[in-house]
Order: sequence, then structure tokens, then C-alpha cells
Amino acid sequence: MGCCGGDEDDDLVKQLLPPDSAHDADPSPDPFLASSSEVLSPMNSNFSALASKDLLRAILELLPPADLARSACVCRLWRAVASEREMLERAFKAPWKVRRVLGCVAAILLSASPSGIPSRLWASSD
Amino acid sequence: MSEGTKEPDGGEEKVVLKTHDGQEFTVDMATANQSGTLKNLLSEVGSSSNNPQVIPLPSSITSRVLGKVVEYCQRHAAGGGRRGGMQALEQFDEELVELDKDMLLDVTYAAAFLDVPRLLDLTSQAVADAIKNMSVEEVRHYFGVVSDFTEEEEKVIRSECPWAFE
Repeated sequence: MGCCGGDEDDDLVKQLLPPDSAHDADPSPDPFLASSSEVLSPMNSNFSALASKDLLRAILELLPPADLARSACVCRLWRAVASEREMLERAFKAPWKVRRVLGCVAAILLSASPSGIPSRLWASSD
Repeated sequence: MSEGTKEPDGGEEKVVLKTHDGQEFTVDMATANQSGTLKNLLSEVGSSSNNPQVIPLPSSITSRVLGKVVEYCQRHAAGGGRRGGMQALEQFDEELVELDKDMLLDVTYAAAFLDVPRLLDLTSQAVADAIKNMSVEEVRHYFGVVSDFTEEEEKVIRSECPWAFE
């Protein structure tokens, strides 16, 4: 995450481009993430704890699936961390006590959340 | 802070932690070694009671925050063998993380910076517990995070995950 400031113009341009153009370089299934994968949110939070992916990961990985899914709607940085495959697998494995998760975890995870399935935001775009 | 700048007692190795706001915490090696960061550092430079190593800390770790971390490290350096055994230690841990959210997050940051894994577990769990069942807006408000999704993206998210905002 070494990019703080300086590249703002580039980032802006990246965000304006259609998500597909970023896909070659970034396997992320989420177009929102693809456009900002390495860009730190302008985290307007006062807490240094939450500006670091590692720390955010340490906190979010303790959340049950529904709360993890909610976290993905907070801001770009949270979304990036909450959408990591490892995070999703962990959240999914614990409550259902499965050993291995196959396929698109995000889709499965969200299908288990309180109401409908906002699958487009999570599932791979193919 | 009782564990502030008191004289090191008899011969034992000490180290001085100095916060950005100028406070000094003199701790023994057993306490300092609870922190992976300090342990690594001290294994290279060493420290003695006559000439204790002074370690400056970043401004994000205030004396109030460091006080909490030192309190934890001292208690855990002593282990469960003192003051009522493991049960008392567990209770100490529980009470230690009963903090307001600013303090809790600052201590979380300090625990990560100083690499005190079990303290980090404690504080992370406390933060996770605090945001469980919160709506997205509540989480944003709680942490002072402003959404950086574009208006368009925010609209999509809200329409596809309405339950997250309830």
C-alpha cells in the first residue's frame, strides 16, 4: 500500500474507465474493487487502526458472515478486505463447520445472509 | 501512571519507552519481551540497568495508550502464577478492553505496532463485538468513516443489499 498521494489523477482516470479495462491486470471479480484495488480509501476515519489493511483484516475476520457482508458496504478499503477469498472462506467455514469451500465463496456467503442475494456485487462477472 | 519514571530497582535489566508526548515508562525485560517488536529490537541492542535503552515510540501511541499496553505486558509477564492465578488473569484481560472506542482502537493499533499478539486478539475481538449487528451507516458513524463509493456505486449497493442498511 505504498501509494499515498501523488497518483490521484491516475486513480481518477482508472475509476472513470470501464471496469473491463482493469480486468486484465486484476483478477478481482468485483468491478468496484478492480478499479481501486491498490488505492487506499481516502479513509476519513480518525483512527490509524482502521487505515491499515492488516489491522482491518484482524478485526473483520472475527465477524460472522452477515456482518462481514455488511462491512463490504462501508467503503472501498473495507470492501477490499472483506472480499478477500480467505476472509470469506473463514467466515463461511466457521458457522457451517465445513472443511473446504469450493466455487465462488462470495455468492454462497451472501446467499446465506438475512434477505435476498445481492449476487451481482459479489459473484464473478462471467 | 504508577509505572512511570521510577528508579530501576537493583541490577535488573530495564528499558525505557518514551512516548512522543514526552512520558517515559521504565519497564523490566520480561515486560518488554511481551512485545515482539521490542524483543527483536532489544536482542540486537541490549539494555542494562545502569544505562537503559531508551526507545522512542511513534506519535500515534500516546502515553495513555502505552500505559494500557504496559499494564497488559506487566501483568502477563508475571503470568497466572500471581494474584489469583489464571482466572484472575482472564478477568484482568476482560476488564482491560472495557474502553471507549477511541481508546480501544488506539490500543489495537499499539498492540499491532508493538506486536503483542494476545492483546491484539483481545482488542480486535472487542472491536468486532462492538460492530456486530450494526447497520452500514452505524458502522460508518461509529468509526468516522466516510463512504468513498461514487454516488452511482452507493446507489447500486443500497438497492442490492438493502438489508445491510437496515
